[in-house]
Amino acid sequence: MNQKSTKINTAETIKHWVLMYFDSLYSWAIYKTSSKESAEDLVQETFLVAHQSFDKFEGKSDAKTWLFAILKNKILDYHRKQYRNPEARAERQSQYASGILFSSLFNEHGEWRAEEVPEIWPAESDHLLDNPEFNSTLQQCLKNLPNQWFSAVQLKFIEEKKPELVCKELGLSQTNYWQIIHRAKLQLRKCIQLNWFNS
Amino acid sequence: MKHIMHKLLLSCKRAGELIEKQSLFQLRWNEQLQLRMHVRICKFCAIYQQQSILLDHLIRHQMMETGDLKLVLPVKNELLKSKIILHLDEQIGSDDEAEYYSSLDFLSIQVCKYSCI
Repeated sequence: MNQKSTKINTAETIKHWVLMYFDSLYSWAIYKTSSKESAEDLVQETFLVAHQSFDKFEGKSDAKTWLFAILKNKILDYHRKQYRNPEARAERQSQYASGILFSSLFNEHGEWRAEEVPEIWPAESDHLLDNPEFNSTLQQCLKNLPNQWFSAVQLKFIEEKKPELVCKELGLSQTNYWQIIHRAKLQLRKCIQLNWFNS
Repeated sequence: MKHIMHKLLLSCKRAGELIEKQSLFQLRWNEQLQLRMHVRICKFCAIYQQQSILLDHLIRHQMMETGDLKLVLPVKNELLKSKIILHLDEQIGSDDEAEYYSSLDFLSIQVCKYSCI
């Protein structure tokens, strides 16, 4: 086959993939970034990369797995950038959010406020994993976190690397990292308490 | 009494911090001891610790890829989808051109059938 028809075949295969997998890739990207604009960019880039490196695909894995692997890398880059580039405004926002969070949960001695003490969750909380309704509550709660906290939580779990390495890459101290995770988790726990267990 | 407990066994706020630190890094020996004692005495922090671990578990489960795609809310964006397809169609070119090239392929197979052996 000549070069031109190979090019056309590639474009046709990619087109086929767009028709088949665009919706799930896009839904996933929205889910992982909570941002329409970022999800649009990331999915477009995913198909662009797939197109450019089509000869590396070779049908070793199925197309869907391959596309998701590309998207996953793009999402990881996105969170690294989000985290590394805390614009002054985002930084202030997260400082402000911490202040409010801590003073709403703890008194001046650092004890739980009476109305905020963690309550035991019912035993069926073990089965939350497979409950789509719970997952959309969790998704909503993650979405409500300040951007930097959201990215920190994503990085904690997406990265297969050791946390020490994550910190090195992001150029932040270990203390800073776990403190942010701590705030994010406090807020998440409260959000889930209110929107799932109390509702 | 409370004051002594805080000095020796941390405040709840500090205990919560160490619970998260522990999920990422190694605690120092004294931190580990203090946390263990605090959680033994303070039932609220004991509950918090359990829930924190459960939350980690739930979030990690969500992170698994395609397996749990069923849990992700489907979102559509037909505009973007058709934009990408349009762009690809431009590359695929007009039908005439595509037909021309596929007819060439067809010819070369025909030729081979009779003369390439």
